[in-house]
Amino acid sequence: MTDKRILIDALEGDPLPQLLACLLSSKGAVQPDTPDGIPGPDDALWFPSQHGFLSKMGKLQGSDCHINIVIRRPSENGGLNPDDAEHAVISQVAQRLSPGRLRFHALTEDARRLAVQQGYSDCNVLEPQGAARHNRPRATIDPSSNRILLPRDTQMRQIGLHAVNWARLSRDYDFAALPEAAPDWHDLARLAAALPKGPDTATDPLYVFITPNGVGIGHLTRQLAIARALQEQNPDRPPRIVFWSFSRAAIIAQKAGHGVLLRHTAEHLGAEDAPWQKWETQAFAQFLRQHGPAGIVADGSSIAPFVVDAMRQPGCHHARLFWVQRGMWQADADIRGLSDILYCDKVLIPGDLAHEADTGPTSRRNPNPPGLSETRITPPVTLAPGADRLARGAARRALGIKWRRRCLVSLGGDAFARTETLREELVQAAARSGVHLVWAQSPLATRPNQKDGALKTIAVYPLNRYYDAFDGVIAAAGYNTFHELMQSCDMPVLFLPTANARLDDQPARARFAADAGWADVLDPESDVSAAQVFADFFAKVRSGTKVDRNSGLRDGAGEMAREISALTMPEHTDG
Amino acid sequence: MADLSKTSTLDAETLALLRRTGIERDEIGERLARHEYLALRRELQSPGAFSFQVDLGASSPPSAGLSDLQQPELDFDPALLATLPELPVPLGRIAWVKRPEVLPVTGVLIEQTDFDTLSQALLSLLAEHHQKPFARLVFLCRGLEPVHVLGRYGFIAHHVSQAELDQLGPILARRYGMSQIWSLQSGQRSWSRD
Repeated sequence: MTDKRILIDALEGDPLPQLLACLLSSKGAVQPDTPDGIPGPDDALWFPSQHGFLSKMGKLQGSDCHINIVIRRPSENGGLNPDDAEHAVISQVAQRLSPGRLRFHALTEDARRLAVQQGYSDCNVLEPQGAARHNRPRATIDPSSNRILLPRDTQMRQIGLHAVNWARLSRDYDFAALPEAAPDWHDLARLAAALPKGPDTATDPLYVFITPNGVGIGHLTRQLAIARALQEQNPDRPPRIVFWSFSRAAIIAQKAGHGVLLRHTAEHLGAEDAPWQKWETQAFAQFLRQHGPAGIVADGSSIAPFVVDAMRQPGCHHARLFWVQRGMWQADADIRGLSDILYCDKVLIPGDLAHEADTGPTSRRNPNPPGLSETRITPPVTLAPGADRLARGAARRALGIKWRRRCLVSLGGDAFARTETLREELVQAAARSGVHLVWAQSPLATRPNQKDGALKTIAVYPLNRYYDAFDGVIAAAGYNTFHELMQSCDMPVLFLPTANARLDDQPARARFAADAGWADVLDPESDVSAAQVFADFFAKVRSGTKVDRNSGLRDGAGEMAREISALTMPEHTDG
Repeated sequence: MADLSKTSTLDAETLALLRRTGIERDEIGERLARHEYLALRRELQSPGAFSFQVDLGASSPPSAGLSDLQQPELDFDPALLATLPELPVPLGRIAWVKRPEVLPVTGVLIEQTDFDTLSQALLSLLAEHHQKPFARLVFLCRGLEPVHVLGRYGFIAHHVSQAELDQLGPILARRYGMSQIWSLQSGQRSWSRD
């Protein structure tokens, strides 16, 4: 690749810039042209249609870049018309330019013949180089209904004509236009179908994990687990991983050895959504063009619009999109994000041991059109410490804990603020029972007031490496903590579910565990007082009770990594 | 016909109520800022304010080849940059003024340093910011360590790695209307838009 820039005049609603970017990417650094940008002498400026060229001629005065114009056949939006006078104007411009600076192209031989008839005598047909792909399902362009029909198994799916980047679609589908479609659609289909095989088999795959700004660090932890599994499953060529992190706890990803790009949400800035989206879309598109990741792994309740918009930009077609979508949404959760399934290659749902208690929108099949995607439910995903889990003595030494009955209190994002009313009761009940509390502090939480000298705090990550230091755990019932505790611990657990979590139905998850005999729960809807619940729980901690949860530890992160590898480095999948 | 004298009385009462509400809002804003500042001061004065023990064990191989990773904006074409709108910068929760948007946006470069030095320098700067807010601050951190602490108090902290300020400055000038970057440690001006 050279440093030469290939600037493409991208008009919204025209898929040709996306296809051109794929076609030309081996010849230089492709980027969309900007309205006021002045191309340099080494730049090649591509106009996907003669109309685009005519509308931008003014800014080309004084520039001596190389100009390429694709002469298009008729479509609903215009195209080459024998009665048009525009070719006469273009011919006049061509005569004023120095020889070789202006080139004409056509998408098919039929289009070239028509262009020659109109006076573009040196017009050539754009021919993709490299091996074309065969034996793929056919995507049928139906301009009259503004959609593309996609066969999948025995069903016919559909997606909006401009919902996704056509160069991305062309990796998996052959293109054809309905017979009655205007000639230009047939020309586009021919080019899309002939594009060479993409970078599915990159030698050093790169993945970008998009981490939302959650209440706690659950999204980040789940993504770290998947990232680690991806690397462990591919020891010969471990993928590179970058976190596009809106989480303020991004340092954790860096300390895990990954690249980090710290970002800011509109909420962080106090910005309106639209101007913020413009920055984020352009930044993400720049990243996609520059690094060409094999996969984007987004975790959250929706796919952020900047991701979808950036992936549609010319030169941003390389990545497959994976959506890690945790279930157990609250019944009144905002479900608009579920429609984003349309844009994904795969939706990966981390299984929930309490899924039977899920009564919210994620308990049912997503009713939205699936577009390109397949959905896969894996076993629960946790960042299991495996061999790195510390034995009781080593864990206590590492945490500076003395040899007494110890109970961990881990309540997530802003533990001390949310539990202020209960804290005194909790501290007093523990003291009465002779159990010493150790409070886990999240990196995102405000530090507790140290005037309370009795408060023993720890700030370590991941906490589950140290669980064996404790005789009991009091925790919120967020996805990660819940599954870490239920799958790999045998000490008594008391859940204090956070009812005001944005999406997560923690009360339902905690009640399920209580019904299964796996844990106690402080249920605000119960008649039993908090004091009584604490007393009963600490009695179990005091006596060293063990709980057989028999839920088993299954490797959901590994399964997700295999699903991602299968689509992004198919010849290297180990499972 | 409306009873003008009655309407006038009602309007006066409404106006008084609104004024009282405005005054109370101002007082609450100031009190909240005071509370946040005290929490920040306590945090910065405590040992290990920036330390957070992350130990993922031996089973986590690093991602190789990402040493040159930098924020995508640094590679923006100037023509593209010129099309992007200015974004706001929050004042941070430790300070309060009626109209923060009139304060200039200033970058504060935080070089890699030991945590004690960092705590002291930040405390000094932020005490001044709390007492008499003089700018909307954007922290430009060479490392990620200060981010979670500053973020908790509503400050914007960018991770700039080893980016040159001459390259970074014009981008932040466009993004936030930033006019200057000062070094936290040296107190010197490191970049100016003029």
